[in-house]
Amino acid sequence: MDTITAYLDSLFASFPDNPKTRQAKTDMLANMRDYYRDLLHEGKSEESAIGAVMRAFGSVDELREDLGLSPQSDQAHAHPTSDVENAISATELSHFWHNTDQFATQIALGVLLCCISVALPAYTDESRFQVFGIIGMFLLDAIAVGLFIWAGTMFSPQKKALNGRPLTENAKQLAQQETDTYRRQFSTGLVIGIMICIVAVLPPILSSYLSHFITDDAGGALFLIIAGLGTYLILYVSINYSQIKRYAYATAVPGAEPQPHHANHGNWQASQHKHNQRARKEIALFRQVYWLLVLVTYFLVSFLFDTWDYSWLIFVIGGACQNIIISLIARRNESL
Amino acid sequence: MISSDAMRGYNDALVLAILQQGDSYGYKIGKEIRKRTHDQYMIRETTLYAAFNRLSKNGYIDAYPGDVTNGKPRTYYRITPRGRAFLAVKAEEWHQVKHVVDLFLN
Repeated sequence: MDTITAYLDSLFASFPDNPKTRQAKTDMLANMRDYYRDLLHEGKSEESAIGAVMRAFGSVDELREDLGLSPQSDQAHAHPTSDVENAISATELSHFWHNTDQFATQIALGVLLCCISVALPAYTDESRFQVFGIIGMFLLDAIAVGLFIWAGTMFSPQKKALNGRPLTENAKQLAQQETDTYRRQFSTGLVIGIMICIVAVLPPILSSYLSHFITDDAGGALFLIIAGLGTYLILYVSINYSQIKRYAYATAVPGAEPQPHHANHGNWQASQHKHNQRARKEIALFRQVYWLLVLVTYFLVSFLFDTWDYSWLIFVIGGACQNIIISLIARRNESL
Repeated sequence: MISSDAMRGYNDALVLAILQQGDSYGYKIGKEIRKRTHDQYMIRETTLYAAFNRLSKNGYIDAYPGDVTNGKPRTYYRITPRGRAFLAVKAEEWHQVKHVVDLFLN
């Protein structure tokens, strides 16, 4: 029953709140509930009854015209309408993912370039090439900043265009399939990325023991480059995965045949929201405690063993571990 | 199943014809249309609402708060003398339209 209320609420959201629209909503809600009740009496399942009620609604444009609202003025902040034309199609979605892939590549590349840019002066430090290292650093930084701005300005309108719109049934199915497919890639990418970041610690450690084999400068530079590669991988898969996953849970417009999951949609979203909120609280608490612990460990270990040279790496590793733990918290709440 | 588009121009007449047999409210009218056409025509919620609005504005029907059904107060509609006159005009028009279209499509 509440699914109908939620459905009407979303359709009426773009209308001004006045006695006329309120009356229209009350009347329609009563009609739709009657219809729903009758369909159940006829022996229909809850799911197909909800689907039939939604299909019998009609078009928001007709209603808007009827309530004396011009169709254009509300278009800008118009809510997901019952019109199937407004829904995101599967083609549109694949196109968006293609752009997301480009965006992810550009952002990850930018971060990698930043890492390399710092590695250059670190490696050429106090050598006769020092000046080239510094010039190289600024050059790479400039390219990286350019990439960030370019990627952001190209991608954000693409993303905005899909905001707040429902999906067609096909698109939703595609999103769910893609999410399942990409999940493995995402996990693999994340694990390898984190492993690379951890391995990156080796060169600076080796350099302090085998300084004839690898210099301090080279160790530091290698660390930055290897960690940069790991970060590249992590960023790339995370951005892609997040943009695929968000559509697997988006609302779909009832198509020709209602899908079984529609009936529970309202409740499902509400419980999902509750879980999200809980997860967010837990994550915030975790962050506060976690970084305090990392900081204390850093000073303790550094003082005790006089390892100031490379004990700062704890923050890099700590950053990676934080992501793992946060995703674990989020996943646990999801599965509850 | 007939589309709303094909019925354009006659939705108002359908509603008036039902109201001529007694006062009624939104859902009951929609259901009556469905029943009489043996599910061949299902008037959409918004189309029905638009028809009520138009008919009220033209003075063909009066809206009044009716008794409570299924725990909700219903807006009932009553046909006015002007509405009856309009329905008669529409019925006459339909006979002509039917005759003319039949000449081509039959």
